[in-house]
Amino acid sequence: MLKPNHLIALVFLVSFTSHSTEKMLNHNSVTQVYFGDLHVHTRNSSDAFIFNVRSTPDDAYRYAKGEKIQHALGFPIQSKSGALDFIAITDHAELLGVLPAMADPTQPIAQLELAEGIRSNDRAQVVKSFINIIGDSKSKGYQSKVVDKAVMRSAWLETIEAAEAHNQPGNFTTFIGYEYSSAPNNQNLHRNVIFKSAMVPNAPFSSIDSENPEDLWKWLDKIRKDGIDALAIPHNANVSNGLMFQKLNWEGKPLNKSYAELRMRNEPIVEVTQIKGTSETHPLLSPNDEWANFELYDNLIASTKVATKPGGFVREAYRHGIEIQSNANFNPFQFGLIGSSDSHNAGGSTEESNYHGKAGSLDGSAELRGSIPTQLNKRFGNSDASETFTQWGASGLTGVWAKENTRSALFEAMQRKETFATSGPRISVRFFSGFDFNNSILNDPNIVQNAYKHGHPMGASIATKDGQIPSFIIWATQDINSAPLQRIQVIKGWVKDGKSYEKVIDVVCSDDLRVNPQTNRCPNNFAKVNLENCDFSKDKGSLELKTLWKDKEFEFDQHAFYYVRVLENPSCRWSTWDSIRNGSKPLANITATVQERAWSSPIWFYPASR
Amino acid sequence: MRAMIKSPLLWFFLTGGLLFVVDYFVNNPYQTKDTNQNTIYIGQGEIDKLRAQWKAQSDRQLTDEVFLKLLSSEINQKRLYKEALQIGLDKDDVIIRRRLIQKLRFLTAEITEASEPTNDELLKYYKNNQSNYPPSDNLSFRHILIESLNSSIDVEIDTDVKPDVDWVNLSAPFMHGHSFVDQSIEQLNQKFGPYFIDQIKQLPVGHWSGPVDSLYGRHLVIIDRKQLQSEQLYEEIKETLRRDFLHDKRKENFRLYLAELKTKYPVIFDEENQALKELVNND
Repeated sequence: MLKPNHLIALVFLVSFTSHSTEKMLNHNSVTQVYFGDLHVHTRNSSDAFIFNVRSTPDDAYRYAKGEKIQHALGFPIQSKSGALDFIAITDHAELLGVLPAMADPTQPIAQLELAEGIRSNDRAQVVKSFINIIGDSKSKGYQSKVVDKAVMRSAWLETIEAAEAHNQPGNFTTFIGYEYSSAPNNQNLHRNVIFKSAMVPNAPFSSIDSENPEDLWKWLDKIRKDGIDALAIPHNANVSNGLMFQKLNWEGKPLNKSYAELRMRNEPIVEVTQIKGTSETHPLLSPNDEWANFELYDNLIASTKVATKPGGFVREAYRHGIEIQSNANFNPFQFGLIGSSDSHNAGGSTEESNYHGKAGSLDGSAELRGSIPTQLNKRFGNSDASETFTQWGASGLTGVWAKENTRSALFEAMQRKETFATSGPRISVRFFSGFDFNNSILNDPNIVQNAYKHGHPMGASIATKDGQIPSFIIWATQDINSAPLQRIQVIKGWVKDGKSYEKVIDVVCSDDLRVNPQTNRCPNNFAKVNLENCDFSKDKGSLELKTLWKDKEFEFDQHAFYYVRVLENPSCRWSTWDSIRNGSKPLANITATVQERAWSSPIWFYPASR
Repeated sequence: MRAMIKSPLLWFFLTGGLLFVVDYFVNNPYQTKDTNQNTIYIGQGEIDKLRAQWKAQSDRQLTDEVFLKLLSSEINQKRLYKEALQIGLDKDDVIIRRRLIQKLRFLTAEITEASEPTNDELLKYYKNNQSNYPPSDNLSFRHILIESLNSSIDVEIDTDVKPDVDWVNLSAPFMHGHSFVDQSIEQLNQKFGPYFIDQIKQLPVGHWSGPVDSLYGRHLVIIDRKQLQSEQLYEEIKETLRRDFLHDKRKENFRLYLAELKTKYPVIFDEENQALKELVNND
């Protein structure tokens, strides 16, 4: 039934329809959200090929467009959420395309003794050869016969051609990219390098050139001078054993301003979540954060050694960053956040109910990944599936606020950190801060235009003067194919007397619940999950949450950061879905449910006098 | 005895026999040491081939010295190859087997490669496989959210708004914006949900209609452009259709080829495994 208000609105609209012009105004002339995956592997990565992955870059693009492709174990895989808006294929630059070439007996590289075992029918022999090949490439670098520049160049050209063939500006964006895979002593220092346009170098800078990421940054600076714009995105700080955000440089010296500028110029964003765990924070670092234990994983790369040192988590890096800034006026850890899959199946397994694992025949079935009782004695390194694959998570996705879906627009948004990460679902998150927001801005249909006009979006750095207190527009909508939202939180970090502190503050709750001002927590909304069929409570949670928030404890002369975390109601984890399909109960040592989430890039504050 | 030696019939048989013997030695290659099969022949054809290969791979001039080295190397390779075949190194070699099968598959593909579909064939193929090519309707529309389901947002319409003012001002805030231009139904379903999009697809073009319900509340909608792709679609996807047609044709031809091979090479199972005969899929 039309209410009187609606009728009036309709009359007004009808009356000036005749005034409206033929030209369709795009009232989304500010930014819109685009979702994508900037970390995908195909058979050109040796650690995909070795697990029977035969998908090509072309297959990866088709998966990203919502089509069906084949998993290494022979079954079809397809995203249930439809096409992505953008994607980057980031195969490991080291030995790019080498293993597929070794498996082709007509290729010269296949004649190498080291290559023979790759073609064996004996699984153990294949893995053994693989280890020898990696070892040879690491110890001899370009002197190794397996580091075949011609083969790698051919694969790089294939990568470029496929990206160009699938790029559709305005509709579907592909980025040319690769993975720089430095991991000294299995400590992860990997970065994905993304190129802004089709202007790319003849060969990627890999860890064979140097294991020191500072050399990668210097190379990126150099090619930028030649007109090739690119950025690097570190990931898996959780398994870097503290190296990713350590407070020393490669040579062990304290960080300085030029280091910070070099790093921030080339690494404006960090991948905070992916299949091999989430690096936001850890219960030991954030004992007052009840949600700090989300999809933790701590095995160092290809090993069973567990990461132990600080420097492996983003929130802690943010805190160190503002500490350093308050002391020495530079911040080497002022990065934005994204999420990716790191799929080695040419397509992200980011839906809990549709999880197909990370790497082909390694974990492509419930039995192989240890989520159901199994007779298999699967060994990965020296551990079994329950110590590794069960801990892997169905993450993640990148959200970008950009004017249009093109390489330039998306790339520039990443450079200014107007990005957010999700653990898989397409949760949309808006986060602005300003000193002049009208109290009624939340109801303003032009809220976003006004927010840009009178404030700053996520990723910004704001100078503050005495008497100025910022307010924050915080707004999120759920992915309609996922669970409803439960709450939005602000995570604040600040420096007092040279030391940093952190706090998690619930700012808006679902179900009309109110935040308790004493505890800064929403009351429990008792959202439930049925572990027998994964149904979740239909009457709990919100489609959309929004608030205009002020920090009661804001002090203008403190260095601080604020970022937003959006939590869904609980839903089944992929391992529970595996159990249901198998007709068995979820295993006791695996978490049965998760709260999917999104994290915005922070907004930083610093006293204007500095 | 003397009579026998003088007998013309005997000499006839002996001479004939001798002819057979001579013929055997002259024409039976397996008997002589220096046989045709073991001889490597180098003629102008082989020499031209070597020169051409060099030219294709190298920018440099082929000097006599280098050419002789190439030739010696080529001769040695031929010797090694013949010897390898003679001692049966190609038998039971998985790689060689794989490679030969690969070559044969390529050959059968090449035969079908040549036969491009006619327009009629392509149209028929499209009609028979239409479900594989669902039309992606595009919509351009604007909307305002006049009532929000989320009770934590308070929405009031300012009815004093003048008619020539921006229509967006009549709306509640909406995360995904108020205007959509040439968006596919899939993309819109992700933002609004399929129920809402199904409803607005049916609205007429060019004037505000509603209200239409969605997960977010109630909307008024104006469709600016509807593009039902079904008619256009065939032309747009012709290239994809052609590729798929040829792919299917190659598969079918290969299947027929395998069927021919099935009659040519029947399979027999030993007594213990007779049961498998029924279960094996020969396709």
